[in-house]
Amino acid sequence: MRQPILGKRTFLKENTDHSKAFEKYMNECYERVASSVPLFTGRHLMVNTKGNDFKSPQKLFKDKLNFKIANSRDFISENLNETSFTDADALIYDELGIALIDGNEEQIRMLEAESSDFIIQPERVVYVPDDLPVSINIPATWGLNVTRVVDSNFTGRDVKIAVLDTGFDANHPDFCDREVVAESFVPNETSKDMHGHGTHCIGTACGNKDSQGFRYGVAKSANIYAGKVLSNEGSGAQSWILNGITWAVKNNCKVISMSLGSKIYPGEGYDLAYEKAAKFALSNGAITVAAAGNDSRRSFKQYIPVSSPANCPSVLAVGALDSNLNVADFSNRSINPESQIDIAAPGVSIYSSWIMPTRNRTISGTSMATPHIAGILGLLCEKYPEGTIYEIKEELRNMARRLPLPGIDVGVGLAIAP
Amino acid sequence: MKKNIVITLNDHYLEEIDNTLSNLRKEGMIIKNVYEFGVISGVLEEENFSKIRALDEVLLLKEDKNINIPPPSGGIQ
Repeated sequence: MRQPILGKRTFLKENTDHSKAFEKYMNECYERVASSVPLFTGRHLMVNTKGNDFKSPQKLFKDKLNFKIANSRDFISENLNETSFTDADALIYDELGIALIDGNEEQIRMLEAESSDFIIQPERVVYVPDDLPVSINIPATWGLNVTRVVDSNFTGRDVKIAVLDTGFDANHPDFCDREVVAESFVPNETSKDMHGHGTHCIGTACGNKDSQGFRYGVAKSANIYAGKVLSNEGSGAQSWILNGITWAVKNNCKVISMSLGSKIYPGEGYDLAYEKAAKFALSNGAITVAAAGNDSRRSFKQYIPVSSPANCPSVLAVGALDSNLNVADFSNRSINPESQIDIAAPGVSIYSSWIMPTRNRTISGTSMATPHIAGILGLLCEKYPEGTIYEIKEELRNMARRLPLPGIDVGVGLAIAP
Repeated sequence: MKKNIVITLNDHYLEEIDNTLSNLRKEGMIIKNVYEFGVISGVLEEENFSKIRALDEVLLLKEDKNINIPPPSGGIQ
């Protein structure tokens, strides 16, 4: 029997390499090139529509077509395998009432004419479905998997993302091939991160992989703008943060990520100065994202309102989820009017970069959820380079996966990468 | 006592920022930063807060709120 004609699909370079797979997909969709993937193996299946009996075709096979016949019953002790019946022209599956036939066109036509209770159909090639994620072999954090960042074709290329935090460790080996623009707004301190928080947040938003090839960063090709607005002791004045926002806007950053906040009590309003800064950013094409805060202790029924500046209407407030997609115990809640949680992202046990020599570290907090959103916004900005900032925000909301959780805790739900 | 403050301006007075700044200085404020979105930061004696709050162009005067994150050893950031 002939070997089946088989197509090629999946695990080839053209399917696993993002750019190649994307090009191939676009070609198939838009260039209308006929698919080179065969549908049929060149062999036929003969199916008995009235039972399992194959006596009469068996006679035909022998007398008229001079077929060599194999039977699935011959393979009791060994498993049926393509190579074990290469000599046969027909393989009869007695239990199924089906025969696999390797005949030329004339023989097949004759068989069709002579056996009325049987249908003869070409054997189809079976493929792995097209929509299977092609990146199943790339190890990545749970956060990148659940937000489908690992499946995204976008990397934030040519998008400037600002992270306003404790600065950045410029000597970090995970970032040796990246260009980082760093600036300090903390008096008497350089932009070098001596805390770790900033390097962790930049890792999640714009990093790529650790030394083992384990991926933890979302917008891995984005241009990084590290603004130091919190001191090495982890505190900052409001005016430093306003300086950082202004700097990011002047540098045409599209996304401004702020994993920082001060505690807000029930009944407190949002800070007008921050709101003005966020509106100024929006009017210049930049989205500000901020952490909802970690002051709640849900296991003790303590719920604290969204922190400042995340509580400003023009700032996207990000809540934290754990890997079971439950609200993180510490994640704050929409309590004060106008101060809503907008969206949620992974924020428990998040692995990312840390200042050297520690290099990498796993921590939790809405501070870790925020850069996930900043990175995903970066991917969206790459996907829609002509899109306005409002359209991009809208798309982020539209794509979010709805969760069976209250909107006051997770907003529209879990952010999903484009 | 001198305090770090952040002033949010009334939008109607954004055009006359120079005038506003001189009014603020007259009340003893040391201007540190002027943001084009209508926010000014600086230093002021606490006893002069009420005078500045009384100005028409000032919508809001607040002490600069410090923001703190946990020490590096903290598990929840």
